[in-house]
Amino acid sequence: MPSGGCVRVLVADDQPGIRKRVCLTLATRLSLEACEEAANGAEAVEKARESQPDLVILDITMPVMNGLDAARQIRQFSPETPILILTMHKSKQLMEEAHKIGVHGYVVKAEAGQSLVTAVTAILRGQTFFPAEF
Amino acid sequence: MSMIKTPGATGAALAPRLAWGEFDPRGHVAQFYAEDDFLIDSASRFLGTALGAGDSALVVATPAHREGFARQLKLRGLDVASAVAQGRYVSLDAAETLSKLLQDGWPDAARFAELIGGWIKRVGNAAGTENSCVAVFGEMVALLWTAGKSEAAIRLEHLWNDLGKTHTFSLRCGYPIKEFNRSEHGEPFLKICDAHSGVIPGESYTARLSQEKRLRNITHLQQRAQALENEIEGRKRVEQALRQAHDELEKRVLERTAELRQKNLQIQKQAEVLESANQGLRQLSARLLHVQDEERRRIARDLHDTTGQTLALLSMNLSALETEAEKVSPVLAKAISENTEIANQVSGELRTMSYLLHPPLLDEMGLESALRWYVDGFARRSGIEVNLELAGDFGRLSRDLETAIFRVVQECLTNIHRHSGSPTATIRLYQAFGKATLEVEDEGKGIAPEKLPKLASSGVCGVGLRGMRERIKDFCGEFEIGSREKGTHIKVSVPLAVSAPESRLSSRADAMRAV
Repeated sequence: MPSGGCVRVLVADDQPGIRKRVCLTLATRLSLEACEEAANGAEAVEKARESQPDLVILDITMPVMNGLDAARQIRQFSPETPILILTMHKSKQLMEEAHKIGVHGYVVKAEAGQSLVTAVTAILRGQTFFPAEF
Repeated sequence: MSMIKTPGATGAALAPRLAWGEFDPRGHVAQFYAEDDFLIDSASRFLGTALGAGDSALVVATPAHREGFARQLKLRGLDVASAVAQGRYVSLDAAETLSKLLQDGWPDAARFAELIGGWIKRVGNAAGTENSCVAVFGEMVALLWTAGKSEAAIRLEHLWNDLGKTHTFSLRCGYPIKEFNRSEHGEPFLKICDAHSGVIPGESYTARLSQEKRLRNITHLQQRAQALENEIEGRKRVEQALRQAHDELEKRVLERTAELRQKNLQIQKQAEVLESANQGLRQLSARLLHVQDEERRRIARDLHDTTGQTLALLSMNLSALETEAEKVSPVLAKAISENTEIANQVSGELRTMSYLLHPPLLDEMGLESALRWYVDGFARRSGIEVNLELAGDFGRLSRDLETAIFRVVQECLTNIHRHSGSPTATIRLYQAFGKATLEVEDEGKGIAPEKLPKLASSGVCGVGLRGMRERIKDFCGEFEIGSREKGTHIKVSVPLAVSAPESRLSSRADAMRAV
């Protein structure tokens, strides 16, 4: 948990509506200092390197670079930065792959209304959030 | 056995004269014979008459005849030993003497004159009388004739004639009549006769003792000759007819062969046209499968990535709205919550539809993950226990090949569920010997034996099996289907070195970019 209680989040998703909704939801429920947006994996990696956010939220299916590859690259230059996967894929295999990369959480978009804030809160407390089963 | 009993009987007008004094001292007579006994008797009279008159005799004959002459002469009371000792009777081996006369198989005039002329001179001188005549019996010409060297025989006869111009001798040539047994012998036979000053017929004529009997014999011979001519003519006609029939048959065979060749060419052309059409159908089939795959992939992506995302956004918005509504109206919040549930339900249904249209993880995570996902879902839906055996280092294949293998597994499991009645299914996927190999087995009721050959030989079969076969053929792979006492077995092998058709190529990088 960052000091001062204000959190800087980077949200990467190729759907602008999703990015805005995520930022709005987090801003409403948490004390956000900033919510930066990226439209693809490569952009997310670049912005994560520049702004060193407290949390990176990555979609998986994105143009240019997918979210899993982006997570791998971010892990290389910032091993401690928490990463949450927010994806359409309700897949055990993908979740296991994400876990291997070292992300802290995995949320399916269809269930984000119920679990996104819970997942982000848990991760910012240093915990992980993965669905028990699909 | 001799048929001539008395020397005097040969003095009749039509019979040869055997009294030595009545012979032409320079005569050159051909003596034809059928039986050796006749020749020995006849020639012995000729030789014996000369020797008996104090003249000389020279024999150039076969061993059997030389022996026969000596024996017959003794029987006639001649002192052969004395004549031999005096040098008046000389008997030479015909084959040995002939070999000394031939030059490259051809009678040599100089050798002949020297050798034979020398003998005639020596034998003649041995008689010790002036104007002595030598009786000569020869069979060297007969040996040449029997050996098939008719020209050489005639040549040798002429050499004898030439020798007669410088030496005094009376020559008798023995010819076995059986060696003149073919119609083509007629012309050389006449040449041989022409080379002689006289001809003595064989014993069938000579042995007749009266003129009337000889005339009857001639008439009989004429009758036989006529019959033979007729027979020969008949045979020639038969031969001609046979030749014509043979030619006609040959002609028909050639015509039929040409027809068959023509029909064969037509069949080959038709086969080529059919093969071309078949090739076109296969290409069309492959193209249709490809288009179907691509369309399914596109629709699945649209549903999943666009409509699904919109629904997810709707769900998130409703959740946010519900949170705000809870502050002002629990009833409103409950209504919103119900709508959120509906949105989530639609989202789930959409996802299932999308996943069935195209496996979501196939492009992103590869065949292994996609198969595990599909097999898990299939096992849950069907109640069939599926054992998936994947080689640990299977790796990634081209997008189209992974899709093809996934579809084959999908089709196999669907068939097992629908038709086999099997409680279990086993899937093996591995790489070996440059090939990716897939095996699917069940423990169901198998395929009826009468249906299996058609299924195995790509003949008439279900659309599903044909589709699987076409997919695999598109990658130059092999598709095998078998049925045991319990269960069906399908094996698919695809060479890894063969690329998919160019239009279908897609790299792993392409697939991963789409994630």
